[in-house]
Amino acid sequence: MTPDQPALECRHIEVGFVAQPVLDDLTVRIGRGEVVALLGANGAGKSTLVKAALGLVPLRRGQIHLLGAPLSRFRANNRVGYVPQRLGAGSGVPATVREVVSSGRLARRGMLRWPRRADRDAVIDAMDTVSIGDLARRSVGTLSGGQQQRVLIARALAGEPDLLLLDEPTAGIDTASQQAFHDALATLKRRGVTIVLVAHELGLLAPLITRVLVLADGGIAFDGPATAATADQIACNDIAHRLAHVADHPHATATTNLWGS
Amino acid sequence: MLELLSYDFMVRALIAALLVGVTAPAVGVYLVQRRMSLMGDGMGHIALTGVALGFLLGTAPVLTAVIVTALGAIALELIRSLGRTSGDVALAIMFYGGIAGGVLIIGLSNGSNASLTSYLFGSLLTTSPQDLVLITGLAVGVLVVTLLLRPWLFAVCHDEEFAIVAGLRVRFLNLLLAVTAAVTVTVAMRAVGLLLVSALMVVPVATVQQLTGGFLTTVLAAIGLGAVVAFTGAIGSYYLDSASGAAIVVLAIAVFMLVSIGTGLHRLLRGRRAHSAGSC
Repeated sequence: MTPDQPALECRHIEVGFVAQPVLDDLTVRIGRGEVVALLGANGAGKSTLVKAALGLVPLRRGQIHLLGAPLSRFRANNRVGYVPQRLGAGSGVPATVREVVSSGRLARRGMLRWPRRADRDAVIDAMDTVSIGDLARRSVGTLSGGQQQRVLIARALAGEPDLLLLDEPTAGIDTASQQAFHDALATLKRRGVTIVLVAHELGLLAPLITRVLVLADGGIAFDGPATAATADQIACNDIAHRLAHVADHPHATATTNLWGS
Repeated sequence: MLELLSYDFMVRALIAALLVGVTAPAVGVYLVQRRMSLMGDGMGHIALTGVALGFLLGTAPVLTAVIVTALGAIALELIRSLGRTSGDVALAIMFYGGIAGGVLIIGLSNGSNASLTSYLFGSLLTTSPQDLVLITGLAVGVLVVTLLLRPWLFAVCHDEEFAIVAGLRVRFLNLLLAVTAAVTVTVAMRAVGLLLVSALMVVPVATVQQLTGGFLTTVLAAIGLGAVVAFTGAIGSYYLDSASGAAIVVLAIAVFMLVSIGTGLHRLLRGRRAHSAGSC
């Protein structure tokens, strides 16, 4: 990947599960080091865009390039981190925080390789980044929702990704976890990691976000910087409503203040 | 107890019981983790067709059972991951197809239902030296896969989507696990029988996970408990003159219930203590 190649590029993609597409002819280019928030009403396709970018849902049309390579030929999985909304169904047996976070290191470790010093250090660093180092031996099932979310973030960080995609990492988490997530994001931003996160509202994160994409009707309804400090007070449905007016306005620009300050 | 060990058939029976007790939970833990506890049952039913095929062809039923069950497991995994049929429908078809195929083929081979009974409910005491060699070989294979590949199998069973994104060989690992489970079913069918094999894969895991907090601890504790109940149940079945599978499974479920009651009472008492401390 050369420096001018984007971290993530979607070209005219269409994704759908039934007749009506969820994403329709969507094109977007996310450069390296950007911290992008994906906003939009429920069902606007935020999570679908993230999953499509990771190859978890098939494309009907279009192309996706990840870190400079077409998705079909992309093999540098160890450079991409993914944080799902919540832990999937497969969690019937207890597992400690360290065990779950360590599973995020496997992409870098390689098959049947014993963990090296660097692997163990990366797992500890990932837990410390989201302030769960003291919970390493605890069973994940006994933690609060916010702490569990931090475990999933640490799992993604253990692979030391260059591109991190997070699906609603702040949904329904406690204040302590929000603060820990904010601090982790600030650290990753300093390290130059490209971050794409799905959110309903920006809250504490607003100052860290370099670009906001609002999805509506299968496409991008707004693409610009998160400019105003009052972003956290505005729910995404409200944003979508405002966008209808912004889009209609003849002088609407990428820097139009969406936050109503 | 010592006089039992003077009989060769009893020594073979106890070694087979130990091997089965160790291997069944080693695979079962991944099935429980994926919430596919009944998968072992489905494979047990398919193995019945394999055993019947062995009778029909005049070859060792264990061998045909391994092949047929492994093929069934691969089919089930492919239906689950590729098809539109949901996992439980695929399992249900496996249940019906396995039993129906088994009964049909045993009828064609003019075999008696009595010869099937030892495979359905377990007959450790008839374990031959050749059986023991085969069971040992298969058990070692199962343990090597489940213990050496633990981090990778854990990752896939814990969160398959994440494993795909991480670039792990998810389909290979899933198929490997399915085939390993199929082999385990065949290893265990002499001891606990095809209809009860799933119990030894699942119940020890369900028992110890009430007390453990980590995955590795659960794996090791379930293997230990599986060995203890299989060994003790095998001895019990000798004295009770009952089918070994029934004795082992009843013992495993008794331990499960004891642990469930114990942990339930512990939680209740702790809750009361916390409540009374809070009201002071």
